[in-house]
Amino acid sequence: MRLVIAILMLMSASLGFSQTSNGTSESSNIQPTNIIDGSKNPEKIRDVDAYRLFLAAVAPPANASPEQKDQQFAFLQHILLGKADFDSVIKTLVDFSDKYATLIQNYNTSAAKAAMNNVDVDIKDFLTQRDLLVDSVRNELQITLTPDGMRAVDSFVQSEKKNMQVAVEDLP
Amino acid sequence: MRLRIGAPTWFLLCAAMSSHFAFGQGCAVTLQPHFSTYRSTVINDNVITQTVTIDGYASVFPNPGCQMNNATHTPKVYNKVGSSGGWYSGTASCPSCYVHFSKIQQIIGAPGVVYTTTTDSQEVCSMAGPFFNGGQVSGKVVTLIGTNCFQNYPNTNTPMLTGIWGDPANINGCLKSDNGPTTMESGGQCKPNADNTKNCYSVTVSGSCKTYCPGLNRRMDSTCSLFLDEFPVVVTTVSGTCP
Repeated sequence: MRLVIAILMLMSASLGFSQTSNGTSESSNIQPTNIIDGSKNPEKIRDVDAYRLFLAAVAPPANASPEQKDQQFAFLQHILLGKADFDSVIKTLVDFSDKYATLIQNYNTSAAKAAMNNVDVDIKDFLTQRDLLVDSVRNELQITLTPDGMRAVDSFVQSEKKNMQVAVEDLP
Repeated sequence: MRLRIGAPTWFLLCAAMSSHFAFGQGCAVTLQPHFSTYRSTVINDNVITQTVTIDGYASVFPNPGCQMNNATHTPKVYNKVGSSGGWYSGTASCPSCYVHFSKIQQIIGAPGVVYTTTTDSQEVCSMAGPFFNGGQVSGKVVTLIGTNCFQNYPNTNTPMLTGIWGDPANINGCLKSDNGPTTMESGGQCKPNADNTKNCYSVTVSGSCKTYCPGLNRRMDSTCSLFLDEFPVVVTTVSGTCP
Protein backbone atom coordinates (compact mmCIF):
# COMPACT_ATOMS: atom_id res chain seq x y z
CA MET A 1 0.00 0.00 0.00
CA ARG A 2 2.70 2.49 1.02
CA LEU A 3 4.76 1.41 -1.96
CA VAL A 4 1.88 2.17 -4.35
CA ILE A 5 1.34 5.61 -2.81
CA ALA A 6 5.05 6.33 -3.09
CA ILE A 7 4.96 5.34 -6.77
CA LEU A 8 1.99 7.69 -7.32
CA MET A 9 3.88 10.56 -5.69
CA LEU A 10 6.91 9.85 -7.84
CA MET A 11 4.73 9.85 -10.96
CA SER A 12 3.28 13.21 -9.95
CA ALA A 13 6.69 14.73 -9.26
CA SER A 14 8.01 13.37 -12.52
CA LEU A 15 5.13 14.99 -14.42
CA GLY A 16 5.81 18.38 -12.82
CA PHE A 17 9.46 18.14 -13.77
CA SER A 18 8.74 17.39 -17.40
CA GLN A 19 6.33 20.33 -17.63
CA THR A 20 8.78 22.91 -16.41
CA SER A 21 12.17 21.74 -17.57
CA ASN A 22 11.83 19.55 -20.62
CA GLY A 23 9.65 21.87 -22.62
CA THR A 24 7.06 19.17 -23.27
CA SER A 25 3.45 20.22 -23.31
CA GLU A 26 0.44 18.74 -21.59
CA SER A 27 -3.01 18.81 -23.11
CA SER A 28 -6.42 17.81 -21.95
CA ASN A 29 -9.87 17.76 -23.56
CA ILE A 30 -12.06 20.00 -21.48
CA GLN A 31 -15.83 19.98 -21.67
CA PRO A 32 -16.47 23.18 -19.74
CA THR A 33 -19.22 23.37 -17.17
CA ASN A 34 -19.76 27.07 -17.88
CA ILE A 35 -22.23 26.49 -20.69
CA ILE A 36 -26.00 26.34 -21.05
CA ASP A 37 -27.00 23.02 -22.56
CA GLY A 38 -29.99 23.72 -24.79
CA SER A 39 -31.03 20.08 -24.78
CA LYS A 40 -31.73 20.47 -21.04
CA ASN A 41 -32.50 24.19 -20.55
CA PRO A 42 -33.42 25.74 -23.91
CA GLU A 43 -35.34 28.52 -22.13
CA LYS A 44 -32.08 29.81 -20.63
CA ILE A 45 -30.51 30.52 -24.01
CA ARG A 46 -30.90 34.16 -25.03
CA ASP A 47 -32.63 34.81 -28.36
CA VAL A 48 -29.67 36.90 -29.50
CA ASP A 49 -27.34 33.92 -29.02
CA ALA A 50 -29.72 31.49 -30.70
CA TYR A 51 -30.18 33.79 -33.71
CA ARG A 52 -26.42 34.37 -33.96
CA LEU A 53 -25.64 30.66 -34.07
CA PHE A 54 -28.48 29.94 -36.49
CA LEU A 55 -27.71 32.86 -38.83
CA ALA A 56 -23.98 32.18 -38.82
CA ALA A 57 -24.57 28.49 -39.55
CA VAL A 58 -26.95 28.98 -42.48
CA ALA A 59 -25.58 32.23 -43.96
CA PRO A 60 -23.42 31.41 -46.99
CA PRO A 61 -19.95 32.99 -46.92
CA ALA A 62 -19.08 35.46 -49.66
CA ASN A 63 -17.03 32.85 -51.53
CA ALA A 64 -19.57 30.03 -51.17
CA SER A 65 -19.86 27.62 -54.09
CA PRO A 66 -23.32 26.95 -55.60
CA GLU A 67 -23.22 23.54 -53.87
CA GLN A 68 -22.49 25.14 -50.48
CA LYS A 69 -25.35 27.59 -51.01
CA ASP A 70 -27.74 24.74 -51.84
CA GLN A 71 -26.71 22.92 -48.67
CA GLN A 72 -27.25 25.98 -46.53
CA PHE A 73 -30.60 26.73 -48.13
CA ALA A 74 -31.71 23.20 -47.21
CA PHE A 75 -32.20 24.52 -43.69
CA LEU A 76 -34.36 27.37 -44.93
CA GLN A 77 -36.46 25.02 -47.05
CA HIS A 78 -37.25 23.20 -43.84
CA ILE A 79 -38.85 26.38 -42.45
CA LEU A 80 -41.46 26.29 -45.26
CA LEU A 81 -41.39 29.97 -46.24
CA GLY A 82 -43.26 31.49 -49.17
CA LYS A 83 -41.16 32.56 -52.17
CA ALA A 84 -41.06 36.26 -51.29
CA ASP A 85 -40.11 35.53 -47.67
CA PHE A 86 -37.52 32.96 -48.79
CA ASP A 87 -35.86 35.53 -51.08
CA SER A 88 -35.89 38.16 -48.32
CA VAL A 89 -34.27 35.79 -45.84
CA ILE A 90 -31.53 34.90 -48.34
CA LYS A 91 -30.76 38.57 -49.00
CA THR A 92 -30.60 39.28 -45.27
CA LEU A 93 -28.37 36.25 -44.67
CA VAL A 94 -25.86 37.34 -47.33
CA ASP A 95 -25.69 40.81 -45.72
CA PHE A 96 -25.26 39.27 -42.27
CA SER A 97 -22.53 36.93 -43.47
CA ASP A 98 -20.49 39.84 -44.88
CA LYS A 99 -20.93 42.02 -41.80
CA TYR A 100 -20.21 39.23 -39.31
CA ALA A 101 -17.06 38.19 -41.17
CA THR A 102 -15.85 41.81 -41.29
CA LEU A 103 -16.59 42.34 -37.59
CA ILE A 104 -14.62 39.23 -36.65
CA GLN A 105 -11.77 40.09 -39.01
CA ASN A 106 -11.42 43.61 -37.59
CA TYR A 107 -11.40 42.34 -34.00
CA ASN A 108 -8.90 39.60 -34.83
CA THR A 109 -6.55 42.10 -36.48
CA SER A 110 -6.48 44.14 -33.27
CA ALA A 111 -6.22 40.99 -31.11
CA ALA A 112 -3.24 39.71 -33.11
CA LYS A 113 -1.57 43.13 -32.91
CA ALA A 114 -2.14 43.27 -29.13
CA ALA A 115 -0.65 39.79 -28.74
CA MET A 116 2.45 40.83 -30.70
CA ASN A 117 2.91 43.78 -28.34
CA ASN A 118 2.17 41.63 -25.28
CA VAL A 119 -0.81 43.76 -24.23
CA ASP A 120 -4.32 42.66 -23.29
CA VAL A 121 -7.19 43.00 -25.71
CA ASP A 122 -10.68 43.89 -24.49
CA ILE A 123 -13.30 41.70 -26.13
CA LYS A 124 -16.32 43.38 -24.49
CA ASP A 125 -16.71 46.01 -27.23
CA PHE A 126 -16.61 43.31 -29.87
CA LEU A 127 -19.25 41.22 -28.07
CA THR A 128 -21.52 44.27 -27.80
CA GLN A 129 -21.14 45.01 -31.51
CA ARG A 130 -21.71 41.36 -32.34
CA ASP A 131 -25.00 41.28 -30.43
CA LEU A 132 -26.09 44.61 -31.94
CA LEU A 133 -25.50 43.17 -35.40
CA VAL A 134 -27.68 40.15 -34.62
CA ASP A 135 -30.42 42.37 -33.19
CA SER A 136 -30.36 44.54 -36.32
CA VAL A 137 -30.74 41.45 -38.50
CA ARG A 138 -33.71 40.29 -36.44
CA ASN A 139 -35.28 43.73 -36.83
CA GLU A 140 -34.68 43.62 -40.57
CA LEU A 141 -36.33 40.22 -40.80
CA GLN A 142 -39.31 41.52 -38.84
CA ILE A 143 -39.68 44.43 -41.26
CA THR A 144 -39.18 42.53 -44.51
CA LEU A 145 -40.96 39.23 -43.81
CA THR A 146 -44.69 38.65 -43.66
CA PRO A 147 -45.98 38.04 -40.12
CA ASP A 148 -46.41 34.32 -40.98
CA GLY A 149 -42.87 34.17 -42.39
CA MET A 150 -41.37 35.81 -39.31
CA ARG A 151 -43.37 33.50 -37.05
CA ALA A 152 -42.04 30.48 -38.98
CA VAL A 153 -38.42 31.67 -38.74
CA ASP A 154 -38.73 32.49 -35.04
CA SER A 155 -40.45 29.19 -34.28
CA PHE A 156 -37.64 27.31 -36.05
CA VAL A 157 -34.89 29.22 -34.22
CA GLN A 158 -36.63 28.67 -30.87
CA SER A 159 -36.94 24.94 -31.58
CA GLU A 160 -33.25 24.81 -32.55
CA LYS A 161 -32.17 25.99 -29.09
CA LYS A 162 -32.24 22.33 -28.05
CA ASN A 163 -29.32 21.76 -30.45
CA MET A 164 -27.20 24.58 -29.03
CA GLN A 165 -24.68 24.88 -26.22
CA VAL A 166 -23.98 28.49 -25.31
CA ALA A 167 -21.06 29.79 -23.26
CA VAL A 168 -22.39 31.32 -20.04
CA GLU A 169 -19.93 34.20 -20.39
CA ASP A 170 -22.00 35.33 -23.33
CA LEU A 171 -24.78 36.21 -20.91
CA PRO A 172 -25.03 39.74 -19.50
CA MET B 1 -4.94 -3.98 -6.47
CA ARG B 2 -7.72 -1.43 -6.29
CA LEU B 3 -5.20 1.39 -5.94
CA ARG B 4 -3.16 0.18 -8.86
CA ILE B 5 -6.24 0.41 -11.11
CA GLY B 6 -7.13 3.77 -9.61
CA ALA B 7 -3.77 5.39 -10.27
CA PRO B 8 -4.25 6.34 -13.94
CA THR B 9 -7.80 7.48 -13.22
CA TRP B 10 -6.55 9.81 -10.49
CA PHE B 11 -3.94 11.21 -12.84
CA LEU B 12 -6.42 11.87 -15.66
CA LEU B 13 -8.84 13.60 -13.28
CA CYS B 14 -6.14 16.03 -12.20
CA ALA B 15 -5.39 16.83 -15.83
CA ALA B 16 -9.04 17.21 -16.88
CA MET B 17 -9.97 19.57 -14.06
CA SER B 18 -7.41 22.17 -15.07
CA SER B 19 -7.04 24.29 -18.20
CA HIS B 20 -3.59 25.38 -17.13
CA PHE B 21 -0.77 24.51 -19.53
CA ALA B 22 2.97 24.64 -19.08
CA PHE B 23 5.46 25.03 -21.93
CA GLY B 24 9.03 24.75 -20.84
CA GLN B 25 11.07 26.86 -18.44
CA GLY B 26 8.97 29.45 -16.61
CA CYS B 27 6.15 29.54 -19.15
CA ALA B 28 2.61 28.65 -18.20
CA VAL B 29 -0.75 29.73 -19.55
CA THR B 30 -4.37 29.39 -18.50
CA LEU B 31 -6.95 29.08 -21.27
CA GLN B 32 -10.56 29.85 -20.43
CA PRO B 33 -12.88 28.71 -23.25
CA HIS B 34 -16.01 30.68 -24.17
CA PHE B 35 -17.21 28.64 -27.12
CA SER B 36 -20.77 28.05 -28.17
CA THR B 37 -21.74 25.16 -30.43
CA TYR B 38 -24.69 24.40 -32.68
CA ARG B 39 -25.39 21.12 -34.41
CA SER B 40 -28.49 20.46 -36.39
CA THR B 41 -29.81 17.86 -38.80
CA VAL B 42 -32.70 18.51 -41.15
CA ILE B 43 -34.30 15.98 -43.43
CA ASN B 44 -36.27 16.91 -46.53
CA ASP B 45 -37.69 13.51 -47.48
CA ASN B 46 -34.53 11.70 -48.69
CA VAL B 47 -32.07 14.62 -48.45
CA ILE B 48 -30.18 14.64 -45.15
CA THR B 49 -28.38 17.89 -44.26
CA GLN B 50 -26.35 18.33 -41.09
CA THR B 51 -24.46 21.37 -39.84
CA VAL B 52 -21.93 21.75 -37.02
CA THR B 53 -20.82 25.19 -35.82
CA ILE B 54 -18.33 26.43 -33.26
CA ASP B 55 -18.35 30.13 -32.35
CA GLY B 56 -16.52 31.97 -29.59
CA TYR B 57 -13.15 32.77 -28.11
CA ALA B 58 -10.68 31.87 -25.40
CA SER B 59 -9.50 34.13 -22.62
CA VAL B 60 -5.74 33.69 -22.46
CA PHE B 61 -3.80 34.31 -19.26
CA PRO B 62 -0.07 33.74 -19.79
CA ASN B 63 2.26 34.25 -16.86
CA PRO B 64 4.81 37.12 -17.11
CA GLY B 65 7.60 36.35 -19.55
CA CYS B 66 5.57 33.77 -21.45
CA GLN B 67 5.65 34.59 -25.16
CA MET B 68 2.50 33.45 -26.95
CA ASN B 69 3.47 34.97 -30.32
CA ASN B 70 4.05 31.62 -31.96
CA ALA B 71 0.91 29.93 -30.65
CA THR B 72 -2.20 29.59 -32.82
CA HIS B 73 -5.69 28.28 -32.15
CA THR B 74 -7.63 26.26 -34.72
CA PRO B 75 -11.34 25.37 -34.65
CA LYS B 76 -12.33 21.86 -35.68
CA VAL B 77 -15.72 20.29 -36.23
CA TYR B 78 -16.69 16.67 -36.76
CA ASN B 79 -19.62 16.22 -39.12
CA LYS B 80 -20.38 12.75 -40.39
CA VAL B 81 -23.52 11.34 -42.01
CA GLY B 82 -23.27 7.67 -42.87
CA SER B 83 -19.80 7.20 -44.35
CA SER B 84 -19.54 10.81 -45.59
CA GLY B 85 -17.57 13.44 -43.69
CA GLY B 86 -15.26 13.44 -40.67
CA TRP B 87 -13.11 16.08 -38.99
CA TYR B 88 -12.79 19.50 -40.67
CA SER B 89 -10.39 22.26 -39.62
CA GLY B 90 -10.94 26.00 -39.83
CA THR B 91 -8.27 28.66 -40.18
CA ALA B 92 -5.62 28.97 -37.48
CA SER B 93 -5.61 32.34 -35.75
CA CYS B 94 -4.12 34.08 -32.74
CA PRO B 95 -4.95 32.63 -29.28
CA SER B 96 -7.25 35.50 -28.26
CA CYS B 97 -8.88 35.80 -31.70
CA TYR B 98 -12.62 35.24 -32.14
CA VAL B 99 -13.52 32.09 -34.01
CA HIS B 100 -16.45 31.12 -36.15
CA PHE B 101 -16.33 27.86 -38.10
CA SER B 102 -19.19 25.95 -39.61
CA LYS B 103 -19.38 22.88 -41.82
CA ILE B 104 -22.38 21.42 -43.59
CA GLN B 105 -22.68 17.82 -44.75
CA GLN B 106 -25.39 16.70 -47.14
CA ILE B 107 -26.24 13.31 -48.61
CA ILE B 108 -29.06 11.83 -50.65
CA GLY B 109 -30.35 8.90 -48.61
CA ALA B 110 -30.86 5.58 -50.39
CA PRO B 111 -34.27 3.96 -49.80
CA GLY B 112 -34.32 1.54 -46.90
CA VAL B 113 -30.85 2.50 -45.62
CA VAL B 114 -30.33 3.73 -42.04
CA TYR B 115 -27.62 6.36 -41.56
CA THR B 116 -25.69 7.15 -38.38
CA THR B 117 -25.07 10.84 -37.73
CA THR B 118 -22.21 12.03 -35.51
CA THR B 119 -21.13 15.54 -34.54
CA ASP B 120 -18.42 17.02 -32.35
CA SER B 121 -16.31 20.18 -32.09
CA GLN B 122 -12.94 21.20 -30.71
CA GLU B 123 -10.66 24.18 -30.30
CA VAL B 124 -7.02 23.19 -30.61
CA CYS B 125 -3.99 25.13 -29.39
CA SER B 126 -0.83 24.57 -31.42
CA MET B 127 1.15 24.34 -28.19
CA ALA B 128 -1.29 22.69 -25.76
CA GLY B 129 -3.50 20.59 -28.02
CA PRO B 130 -7.31 20.46 -27.69
CA PHE B 131 -8.51 22.63 -24.81
CA PHE B 132 -12.22 22.75 -25.63
CA ASN B 133 -14.36 19.80 -26.60
CA GLY B 134 -18.03 20.22 -27.48
CA GLY B 135 -18.73 16.53 -26.89
CA GLN B 136 -19.71 13.84 -29.35
CA VAL B 137 -23.40 13.39 -30.16
CA SER B 138 -24.68 10.54 -32.32
CA GLY B 139 -28.07 9.74 -33.74
CA LYS B 140 -29.75 7.76 -36.50
CA VAL B 141 -31.69 8.65 -39.59
CA VAL B 142 -34.25 5.87 -39.80
CA THR B 143 -36.42 4.91 -42.73
CA LEU B 144 -40.14 4.59 -43.27
CA ILE B 145 -41.37 1.02 -42.71
CA GLY B 146 -45.12 1.48 -43.04
CA THR B 147 -47.86 4.12 -43.11
CA ASN B 148 -51.57 4.43 -42.66
CA CYS B 149 -54.11 7.12 -43.39
CA PHE B 150 -57.46 7.90 -41.76
CA GLN B 151 -60.05 10.24 -43.23
CA ASN B 152 -61.44 10.64 -39.74
CA TYR B 153 -59.22 9.41 -36.91
CA PRO B 154 -61.47 8.48 -33.96
CA ASN B 155 -59.14 9.79 -31.22
CA THR B 156 -58.81 13.28 -32.67
CA ASN B 157 -61.83 13.48 -34.99
CA THR B 158 -59.56 14.83 -37.73
CA PRO B 159 -57.86 13.39 -40.81
CA MET B 160 -54.67 11.61 -39.72
CA LEU B 161 -51.48 10.06 -41.07
CA THR B 162 -49.63 7.49 -39.00
CA GLY B 163 -46.23 5.99 -39.67
CA ILE B 164 -43.70 3.48 -38.48
CA TRP B 165 -39.98 4.20 -38.87
CA GLY B 166 -37.00 2.05 -38.05
CA ASP B 167 -34.10 -0.01 -39.32
CA PRO B 168 -35.25 -2.60 -41.90
CA ALA B 169 -32.14 -4.66 -41.12
CA ASN B 170 -32.93 -4.67 -37.39
CA ILE B 171 -36.69 -4.51 -37.04
CA ASN B 172 -36.67 -6.08 -33.57
CA GLY B 173 -34.16 -3.58 -32.20
CA CYS B 174 -35.23 -0.39 -33.97
CA LEU B 175 -38.89 0.30 -34.70
CA LYS B 176 -41.19 3.07 -33.51
CA SER B 177 -44.60 4.42 -34.54
CA ASP B 178 -45.93 7.95 -34.45
CA ASN B 179 -49.05 9.94 -35.27
CA GLY B 180 -49.03 12.90 -37.64
CA PRO B 181 -50.36 16.42 -37.21
CA THR B 182 -54.05 17.11 -36.62
CA THR B 183 -54.04 20.18 -38.85
CA MET B 184 -54.84 18.62 -42.26
CA GLU B 185 -58.02 20.03 -43.83
CA SER B 186 -61.02 17.70 -43.54
CA GLY B 187 -63.14 16.47 -46.46
CA GLY B 188 -60.33 14.73 -48.37
CA GLN B 189 -59.52 11.14 -49.22
CA CYS B 190 -56.82 8.63 -48.31
CA LYS B 191 -54.91 7.33 -51.35
CA PRO B 192 -51.66 5.47 -51.98
CA ASN B 193 -48.92 7.51 -53.62
CA ALA B 194 -47.82 6.97 -57.24
CA ASP B 195 -45.41 4.10 -56.55
CA ASN B 196 -47.71 2.56 -53.96
CA THR B 197 -45.18 2.85 -51.13
CA LYS B 198 -47.08 5.28 -48.85
CA ASN B 199 -50.60 6.00 -47.74
CA CYS B 200 -51.27 9.68 -48.31
CA TYR B 201 -54.13 12.13 -47.82
CA SER B 202 -55.41 14.39 -50.62
CA VAL B 203 -57.79 17.29 -50.19
CA THR B 204 -58.98 20.12 -52.42
CA VAL B 205 -58.23 23.53 -50.91
CA SER B 206 -59.10 26.78 -52.74
CA GLY B 207 -59.18 25.09 -56.16
CA SER B 208 -55.87 23.24 -55.67
CA CYS B 209 -55.22 19.60 -54.77
CA LYS B 210 -53.07 19.34 -51.68
CA THR B 211 -51.48 15.95 -50.92
CA TYR B 212 -49.91 15.09 -47.58
CA CYS B 213 -47.54 12.08 -47.41
CA PRO B 214 -45.33 10.87 -44.54
CA GLY B 215 -41.63 11.64 -45.09
CA LEU B 216 -39.25 8.81 -45.99
CA ASN B 217 -36.71 9.48 -43.25
CA ARG B 218 -36.59 10.96 -39.79
CA ARG B 219 -34.21 11.25 -36.84
CA MET B 220 -33.96 9.05 -33.77
CA ASP B 221 -31.49 8.87 -30.91
CA SER B 222 -28.69 6.32 -31.15
CA THR B 223 -30.68 3.70 -29.20
CA CYS B 224 -33.82 4.04 -31.35
CA SER B 225 -35.93 4.90 -28.33
CA LEU B 226 -36.87 8.49 -29.14
CA PHE B 227 -37.79 10.52 -32.23
CA LEU B 228 -35.68 13.69 -32.37
CA ASP B 229 -37.85 15.54 -34.88
CA GLU B 230 -41.48 16.19 -35.67
CA PHE B 231 -43.57 13.77 -37.72
CA PRO B 232 -42.31 14.50 -41.25
CA VAL B 233 -44.96 15.43 -43.80
CA VAL B 234 -44.24 16.09 -47.47
CA VAL B 235 -46.88 18.40 -48.97
CA THR B 236 -47.41 18.78 -52.71
CA THR B 237 -49.92 21.17 -54.25
CA VAL B 238 -51.25 20.89 -57.80
CA SER B 239 -53.72 23.33 -59.33
CA GLY B 240 -57.21 21.91 -59.88
CA THR B 241 -59.43 19.73 -57.76
CA CYS B 242 -58.22 16.34 -56.54
CA PRO B 243 -59.25 13.43 -58.81
